[in-house]
Amino acid sequence: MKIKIEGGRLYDPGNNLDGEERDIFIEDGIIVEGFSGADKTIDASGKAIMAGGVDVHSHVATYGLNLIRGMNRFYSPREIGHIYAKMGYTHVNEPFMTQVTANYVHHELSSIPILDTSAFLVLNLRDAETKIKSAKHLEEVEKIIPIIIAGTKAIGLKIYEPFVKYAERKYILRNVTAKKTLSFFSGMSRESIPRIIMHTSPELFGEEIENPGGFHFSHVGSAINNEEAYQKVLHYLNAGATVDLGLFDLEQNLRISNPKQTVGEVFGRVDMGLSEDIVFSKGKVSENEAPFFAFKLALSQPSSHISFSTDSPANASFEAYPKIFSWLMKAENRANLFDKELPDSEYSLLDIARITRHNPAYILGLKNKGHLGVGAEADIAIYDINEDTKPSELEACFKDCAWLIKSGCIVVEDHRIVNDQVEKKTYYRGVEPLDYEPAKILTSYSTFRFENLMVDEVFTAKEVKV
Amino acid sequence: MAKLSMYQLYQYLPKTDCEKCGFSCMGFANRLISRDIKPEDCPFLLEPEYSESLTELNRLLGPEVEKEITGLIIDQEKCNGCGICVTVCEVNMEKSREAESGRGPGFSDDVVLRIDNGKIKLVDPHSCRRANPSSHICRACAELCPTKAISLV
Amino acid sequence: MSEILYESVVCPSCGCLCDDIDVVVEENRVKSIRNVCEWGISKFLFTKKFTPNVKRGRVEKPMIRGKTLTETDYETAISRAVDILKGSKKPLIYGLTNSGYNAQKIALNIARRLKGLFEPRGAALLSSYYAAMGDSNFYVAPLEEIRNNADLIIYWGCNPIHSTPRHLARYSVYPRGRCKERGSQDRAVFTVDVAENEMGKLSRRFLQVERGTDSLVMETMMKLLRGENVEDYKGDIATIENMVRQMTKVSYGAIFFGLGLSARGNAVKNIENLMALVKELNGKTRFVILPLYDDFNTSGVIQLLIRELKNPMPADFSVDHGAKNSKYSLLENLHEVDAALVVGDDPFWSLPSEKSDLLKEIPIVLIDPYWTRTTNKAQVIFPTAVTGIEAEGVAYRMDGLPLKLKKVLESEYPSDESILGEIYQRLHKEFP
Repeated sequence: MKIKIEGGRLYDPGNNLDGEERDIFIEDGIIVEGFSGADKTIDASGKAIMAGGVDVHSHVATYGLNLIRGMNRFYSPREIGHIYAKMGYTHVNEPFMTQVTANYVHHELSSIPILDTSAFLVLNLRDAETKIKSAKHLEEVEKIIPIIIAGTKAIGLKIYEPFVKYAERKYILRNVTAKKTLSFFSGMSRESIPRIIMHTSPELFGEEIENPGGFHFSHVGSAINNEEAYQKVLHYLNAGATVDLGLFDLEQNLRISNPKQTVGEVFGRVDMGLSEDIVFSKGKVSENEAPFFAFKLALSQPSSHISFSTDSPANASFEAYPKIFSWLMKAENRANLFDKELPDSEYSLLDIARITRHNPAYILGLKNKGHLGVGAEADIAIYDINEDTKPSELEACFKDCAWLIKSGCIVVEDHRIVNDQVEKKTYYRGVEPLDYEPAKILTSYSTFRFENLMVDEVFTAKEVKV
Repeated sequence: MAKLSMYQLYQYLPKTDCEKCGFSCMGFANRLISRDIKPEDCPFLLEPEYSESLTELNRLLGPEVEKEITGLIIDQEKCNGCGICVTVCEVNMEKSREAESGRGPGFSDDVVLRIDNGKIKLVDPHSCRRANPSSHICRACAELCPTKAISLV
Repeated sequence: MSEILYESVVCPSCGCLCDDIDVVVEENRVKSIRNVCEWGISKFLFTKKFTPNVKRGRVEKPMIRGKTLTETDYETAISRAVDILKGSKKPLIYGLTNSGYNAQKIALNIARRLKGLFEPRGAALLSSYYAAMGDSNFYVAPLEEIRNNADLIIYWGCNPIHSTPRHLARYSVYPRGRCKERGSQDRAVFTVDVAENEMGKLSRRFLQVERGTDSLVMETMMKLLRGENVEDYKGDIATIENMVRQMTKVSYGAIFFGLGLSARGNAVKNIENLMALVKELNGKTRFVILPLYDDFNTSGVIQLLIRELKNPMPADFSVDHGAKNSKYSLLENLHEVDAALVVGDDPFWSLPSEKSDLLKEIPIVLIDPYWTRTTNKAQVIFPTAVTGIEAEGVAYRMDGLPLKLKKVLESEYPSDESILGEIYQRLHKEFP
């Protein structure tokens, strides 16, 4: 189907478009140069157009969430797909997939309608404890990790606990300190894995990282609870690191954390093979200053390499994104959030497009997403936003996009979801040629045979290698 | 298991008394029981038309070999294939990394005990720890069998 | 004659879903098979459970009951099935724990479209487990972590040697784990059951409880944990005290419970107390709890219900708020049901007679590979390929992790997924 979008203003940092009025042509699910005779023409005059939103960090398929859903405390896959689509999002990335839960996470992700998906592989460092102690194994690990990423159909490597710690005293010799671990991964070449994702915690900011440029720090907002940590993040950003913000909405939220960081009511715990259980709880972060520093960081825009995130559902549920956008865009919308003074800068639509489209797509390595250039995936969100939009209306406009096109198919038409059965894709980082043999050492403590740990296409949507 | 008789084995021999093996057929059967000779030492039995007899002879003699070398008596009727013996066998563990962590040994792994067609089978009695007089007496498989399918002489 | 070797096949027998089965196939028949237990081999050889010499009778052609049962083709059988279901005011969709995830999903959609009831086999126990999480939290772990860490395994109301034969060797007691390098020497086993069985031999403590007193035992254990008075308990208090003492001493315990808890009295009460006990234990040390499923994809159907309806209970679409049904089993409403679609189960064998007598009165559409007691009563019978052997599928292990079921044999029969899909399409066409 050939679709033409007329008269809208485009916001796309990747192609230096800041509100320019331009027509968009879509053919076979791709943005093309132009054509004559569209099957469908959309009038977008007076509206803002962005690429489909890319969520770099949202727990929508973490192992254990289904049990929370069984208590009716979390969205169903259908609700997730619909809420995201209404907000103009077309891609969601699950940040917590272990080797063992890879099949599970992909099966769960493929049950979410509309959205394309990807996932970060959380490597259990216990599987590699003998390797990461010394840099002499660096080359071997550099070879293994891309294979295991490809096999589990992940899009990146995430380190959740940058150390190995056993509770039992008798295994003390197996422990690996954070210092050693970070130094090992700092030394890893950028060719094998472009960017290592670090789970950010206050403890991490207590460590020194030699070469922060190779890392992406996820939801930094959760971990900056003092000025010192704030300065550290600025330092990392200067050194070339990327971050996603981990902003807060200051409501009661479902938190997925280690036992120390639980807040409020506890629902249950899952042992994922890390040094501590993962605990699901619901409450509001109020004791520390992290929410304030998170917004301070976002509003001072110290670097163009920051992405939007709320560590959904922990700091804020994805449903609250529009509210947070409206806070970022207008000082009056966030006037009473904190006692202390925030910078009075305000985000433009271009800034919003940068932190919710361009940068997340860059971090995930999705070259055809997050922008509106020729050749990009035709994932396009059209919002009823223009210079007349009042600050108080912004939230509603972001919550309820006028149109959403996903892979060239119309999903939202005039604020209504008309089709949720569009083709879904699973993006992953592949490797050529794929020889599994060296990676088998990582799975010696699995109950599954290696070949059954590798994700089959029955669990994924249409697979796309990046 | 009932004791093997010479006449029972004789039924499966060619009964030609050709003496190519050096004995009459009855003599051959006698030596089969004492394990001085293998069924394959009879040239006729290697021919296709006797293949069933050969299989049957090996089946009849097989368990006895196990018993003789290792002292293990396996009662297939009682076995439910739970695989505890496969997992706890120390030699299996040395030979197959898979068996150590509770997974079944790989198809090409060369192990002592494995579950074949839902029942336990001693595939390599010679590697069993019990077959080696210099090592300690291992009783793990028999002791831990929940259905008492493995016992010791 | 060429042999084909299929390695690492997943066994579709019980909730263990052992994924290390190596199958040699010759002329479309299983010639030999490694690592499979006695229960699994019956599945691969199409024989009776635990008696691999006795073949189970396969239904060979679709059948329709007029005066007698007569053979027909799939097309006619589907028309008849659709007529029965369409004409029903409140159909029951039942069984499904031996089907792949996608077949279960289609069956749920059929129930939704027909405004019927959807109940997996054995729902009472399972829904009460998931529902009890609301009060007592959940404490779960993939089986890998139980094997890596657990130093105490408790089997309550189940005999893994019969229901899940390889569970002991693969996941719980005997394998060596990351932090349990000596396997069973690093662990202890407790069993609680109504009668002495094989587990007694390998358990450090075997607590024999009287039928129907499980929940009382759990309450007593909780009292002991809280240091309360237990003088009024009449049973074997010495063993219970000893068990509780050891339970608090271990660093990581795992409890597996089975159908025994639902067969004896009140499943809901039993599970609620057991979950409360686990919560109590987690105040002192670390415990996880998982159900031991007898059927290979019971876990899948619960995952499906939660994903689709955010509720682990059987679904009742006949009322407007179907997703919010709060009954543990809908079979108490069986007298209102006027037709049934049974998939891969034999309710005339598995249900108590007061329930199955009610099924005798209504037309039944049955999808099953084998002759069973239910085939004798059904109006329409569809033979199918056996999922996991003759048809591919996805199944969830007891810890909620999915595996791909492979196909090792060709079959002339369609899968249950495709028959259900065809029925759904026809209903969709006729009730847009």
